[in-house]
Amino acid sequence: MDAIKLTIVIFFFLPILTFGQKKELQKFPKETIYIKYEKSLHSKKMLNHKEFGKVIYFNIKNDGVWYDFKKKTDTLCISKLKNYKTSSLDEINNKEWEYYQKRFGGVPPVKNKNGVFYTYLIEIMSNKEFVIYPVIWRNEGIID
Amino acid sequence: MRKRKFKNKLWKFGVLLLGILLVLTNCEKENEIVNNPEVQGNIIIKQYHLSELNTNSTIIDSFEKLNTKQKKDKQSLKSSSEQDLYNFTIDSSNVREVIVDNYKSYTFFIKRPNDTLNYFENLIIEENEGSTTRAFIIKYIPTNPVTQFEEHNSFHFEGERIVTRLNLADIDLAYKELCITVEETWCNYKEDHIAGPTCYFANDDRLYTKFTQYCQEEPDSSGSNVGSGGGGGTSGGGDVITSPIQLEDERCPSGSGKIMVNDVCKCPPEFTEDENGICVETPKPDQIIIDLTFENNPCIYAVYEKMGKSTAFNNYLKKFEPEFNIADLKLSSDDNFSQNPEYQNYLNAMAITKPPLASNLIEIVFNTDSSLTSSIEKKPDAYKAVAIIHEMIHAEMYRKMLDALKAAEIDQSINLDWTDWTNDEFKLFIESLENKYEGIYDYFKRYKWKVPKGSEIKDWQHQQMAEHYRNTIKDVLVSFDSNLSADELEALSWLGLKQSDIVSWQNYDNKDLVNSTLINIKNTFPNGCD
Repeated sequence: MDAIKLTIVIFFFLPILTFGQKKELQKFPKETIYIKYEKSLHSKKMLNHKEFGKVIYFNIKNDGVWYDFKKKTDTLCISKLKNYKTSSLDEINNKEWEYYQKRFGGVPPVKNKNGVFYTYLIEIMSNKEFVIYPVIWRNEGIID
Repeated sequence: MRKRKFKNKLWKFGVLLLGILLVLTNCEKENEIVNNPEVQGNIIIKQYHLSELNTNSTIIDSFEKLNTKQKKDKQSLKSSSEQDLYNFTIDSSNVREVIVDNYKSYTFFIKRPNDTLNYFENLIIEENEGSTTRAFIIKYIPTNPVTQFEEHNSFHFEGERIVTRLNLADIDLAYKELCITVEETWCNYKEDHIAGPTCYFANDDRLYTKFTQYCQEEPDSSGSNVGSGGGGGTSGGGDVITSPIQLEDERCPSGSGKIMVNDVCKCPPEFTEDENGICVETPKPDQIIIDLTFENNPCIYAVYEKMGKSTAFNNYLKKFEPEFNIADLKLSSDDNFSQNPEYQNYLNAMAITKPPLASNLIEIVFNTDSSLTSSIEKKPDAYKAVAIIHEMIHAEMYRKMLDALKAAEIDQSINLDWTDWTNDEFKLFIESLENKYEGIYDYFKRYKWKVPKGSEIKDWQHQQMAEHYRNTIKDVLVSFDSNLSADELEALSWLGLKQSDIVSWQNYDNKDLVNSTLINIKNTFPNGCD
């Protein structure tokens, strides 16, 4: 009798055990990061460029992010600003490194922060509101 | 009572074991590639357009003989069956080359003037070192509908094969070949199908060979019909090794050139449908794109053209030609280099190379910005030549990565954008890179992929270039300017590579001589842009 019960139990779980074991592709979700916009981040070399005002560079390693005013932006009340933690370039580079380690066990052939992060730029407009711009990273993988 | 308990336990244990067994067997990852005992490891299959083989003496010679034979037949009173045998035209769009050690065969799809709805035919020309060139026509008569394997531009064939040896010259009539073994190279990736170049590029155990022997009792003096079906007898003259080509599908409109895929008649890969519903060969784009910004810059373009005389340089250029079908190369120049947001890290560079991220296009951009001292126009021509070959080597390294990626069959699109790759796909890419380009794999692993956190130094490509490619740079420079001295060649080969984090430069003893020679070249050598 016990054997019959056991058989029933096994056959009840069998489809779950067999079909439920298909290996899911391991997911590596992109992290959302925020960068605080400051005018000083603009490259002085680009003062006369038509894209000045659309591109900023971190002043240490010239890593650039590009933003486009045509894309949908959000204007929010300044009281919400505390909900957004901004990251420095070093923090971003560390996060990028860790992402590659988890995903590939090392750095891929061409680094691409756009594959790792959803990046937003935060510009404080006044003491009442701030704007969030979706941005992308540029000049990745170029070699001289 | 104890016996019953024991029986019960045994029964439970058996059921449990069965359950575990089922779970374990179902959880195991299935291996897509079935091992085959007849796998041949040394087969190479390539696909060409006939025009790409116009320097192949075996083919030219065989075609001349076949042409002569066709003309003679038209004038002679020989039997009509023999005239019919030689009455075909060769499809020039797809030629398959099969190489096994010293043996080479070329397989062509041939067309007859009349409809051949129930079969298709291939012409095979052999190039066997030390032996007479042989030619055969193999007629394939399907017994079941041919299943197309579109992904590899190939198909699965079941049916009869009739092998006929052709007389390449009238004097060659008296051969005594009674049996011929035909070897067809097949591929067991996904569904079994006739192997094409994609299968070969995979460079794994997916290739295998099907042998069939065709015999007849007596050879005749016209084209010798060796017969169909298997049989005994001794094989003379060696096997015919082929990778069959079928361009017509009898289930699709006659003459359309379409093949049936999932019950729909479609043009084969590399063909497009014209306004009359006929498949025509898709024109291949020129894979080396010379942008007008580069071509219209006479002083740089002149250096580029002069470098074209170098075999080593041409060998790099050739890798981007359509027959390799891996990567496109674009050469351009930017006279607003300093203002381009993408180049802000590289304002001291004469040129940069952009990796193949969005597509298989690798782009070399020369800095011609007059506001920058780094502009290539302000450098002597010898510097320009180094910049061109230096960037070309970067492009070649990226091309090799794409080639490894293609062989790994991760994705239809060949580019280094990894965002959609899974872990397993990345592993396949790395394995493929290691198998195909061990040097690149080694430097990529040592200087990028496996570099500890915070210690990423100068890119792996420069490390490898400094250690292994400086002689190539010198070879190109010798062709560019044969008056360059050994010291000048040595110094120029270090341009762009003598950074403090380059290991080869760290270990180099004559740094001072290189630096002083480079200053001398910079100040005294001619600059065509002046």
